[in-house]
Amino acid sequence: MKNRLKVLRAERNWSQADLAERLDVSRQSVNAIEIGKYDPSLPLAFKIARLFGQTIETLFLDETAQKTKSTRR
Amino acid sequence: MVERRTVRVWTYAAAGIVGGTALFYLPILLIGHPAKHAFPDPARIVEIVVAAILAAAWGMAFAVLAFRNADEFKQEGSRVSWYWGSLIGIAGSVPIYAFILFGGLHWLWPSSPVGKELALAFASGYALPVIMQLMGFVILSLWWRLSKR
Repeated sequence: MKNRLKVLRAERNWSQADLAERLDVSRQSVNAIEIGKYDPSLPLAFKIARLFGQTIETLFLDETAQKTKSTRR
Repeated sequence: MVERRTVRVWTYAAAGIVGGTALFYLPILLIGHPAKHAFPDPARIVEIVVAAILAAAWGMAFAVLAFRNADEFKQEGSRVSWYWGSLIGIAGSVPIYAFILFGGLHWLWPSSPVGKELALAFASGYALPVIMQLMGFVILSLWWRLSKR
């Protein structure tokens, strides 16, 4: 699932390792989430959202919903 | 630099393997190999089976610790690897099993032993872990369904 994690991380000048430590996950997890190869669990998604002061919907891009919207137009 | 969590997981895994192996071989180190005593010796069999149970329990305990200390991404990786890896491994072993069971090794190396008793022993040795894996899968599947109601 596409997301804005990398952008938000860069805004704060955090490395993947920094973010991983703040979330208590491995750096590989952060990398996998950023490149869309792994979708975090709900608890982790909420943790990420709280850390960045955002909602899950603004962090993670729901491609299915976006496709449905464009089809309806 | 390796993360602390990763070091912790590796430590648990190593402790499980090393400790489990030591527990399994302890009776053999203390009392000698069963083959050196009268065979079959019930007392030796009981001692070694008890050691095997302790070794398996030790290994399982540390496997659980290692899994729980991994983050969700690595846990998911473990689940996927074990599920598909086991499936592929078992599927791959079937033709090898058939080849050996019906004398394939003897065909390639005529000097290697062959016979009905040997085939039966080989079949038993192959079937045991496969059946136990399938039983474990069935039991956990049932538990999963019942516990999520």
